[in-house]
Amino acid sequence: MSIAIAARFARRELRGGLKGFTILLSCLALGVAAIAAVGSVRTAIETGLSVEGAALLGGDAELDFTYHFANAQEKEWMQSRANAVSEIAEFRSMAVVDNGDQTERGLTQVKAIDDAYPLIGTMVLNPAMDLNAALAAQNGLPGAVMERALIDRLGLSIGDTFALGNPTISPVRRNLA
Amino acid sequence: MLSLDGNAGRVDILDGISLDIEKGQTVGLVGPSGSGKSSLLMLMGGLEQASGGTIHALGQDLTAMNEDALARFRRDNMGVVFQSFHLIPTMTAVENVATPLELAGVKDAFEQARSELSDVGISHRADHYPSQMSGGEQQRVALARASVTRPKILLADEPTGNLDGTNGNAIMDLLFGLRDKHGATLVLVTHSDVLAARCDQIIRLEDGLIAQESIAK
Repeated sequence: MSIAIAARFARRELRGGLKGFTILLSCLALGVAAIAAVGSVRTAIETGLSVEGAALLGGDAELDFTYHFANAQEKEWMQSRANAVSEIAEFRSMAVVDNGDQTERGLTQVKAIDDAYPLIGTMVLNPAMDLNAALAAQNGLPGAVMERALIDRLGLSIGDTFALGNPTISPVRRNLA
Repeated sequence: MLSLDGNAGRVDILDGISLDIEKGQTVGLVGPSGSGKSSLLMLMGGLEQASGGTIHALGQDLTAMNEDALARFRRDNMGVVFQSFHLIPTMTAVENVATPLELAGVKDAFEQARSELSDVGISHRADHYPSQMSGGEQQRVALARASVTRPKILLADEPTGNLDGTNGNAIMDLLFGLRDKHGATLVLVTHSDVLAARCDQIIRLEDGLIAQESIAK
């Protein structure tokens, strides 16, 4: 069969195939749109990290130590190179709320900070208040700032107390998500 | 011989068929459903491969041909009419009829196709698609497509099976008229003894065997 005849037959076949062709084109458009959307999200994240990375991190650089605090020599090394150093400890723990007849528990990631945190940027809380004030001890219990989702899951309100490990911590503050 | 191998075992569809058809003869293949009429016709047209034995047509051994050779043989020598028309739905009537001519490289394929459509009385529907035509009209187009290449052998498998009596009779008149006009050998599969009686020879099949051969007229 010559190419001319094959092309002629193919053109005729397309008459009946336009519906299927539309579906194919729609699928292609959807696929391209999905890929473009993924690319856009990735670009937005990369740009955000690039522009706001320091604020998100709370500093220009972070050094991680696994299962131990920085020793004196390591702290000296950091202080000799940085304008300011903040020490943070992060660990997983169980937040426990004792309601008397019922106990609510929620696994959470705890971030313990020092007075210097954050070195860059500002911690914004909801309701608006100073971070140091939110973390200040009340009635002998240290303060905490908690993510809204965990507050709702544990059924807490601002001013309530919850246990983190052994000590009881109060009051609860929530940060702005 | 034609056998079908499947999970349920081997089924012999045709067995021990020995048949000679003279050039220019009209032959009616009759018999109950499942007796092997259509299978025998498919073997004659090279549309089905025999699992044993040989089939000769116009002096050539069909069983020795590969698919491409069989397709060329059919293109040059055969016209086939099916019960369910088998027109190409995306082509108009004239394009359907012109297709075998185009495939054969005929220059004035469309002129011949229009002339053939006129011969079967359907020229006014030349530019309509199969879905826009009645069953009788579609079968006329199928007849035109089968005869436009002036085949030496015409095979028809229940060509009136999907048509009412009036349209069926008209199609049979056209089929025999075309055969008489062009002198092709015609093999007609039918359930109707009346239609078969219009043929020179009647072959009755039962359970894959020739039960009776008779001269009709």
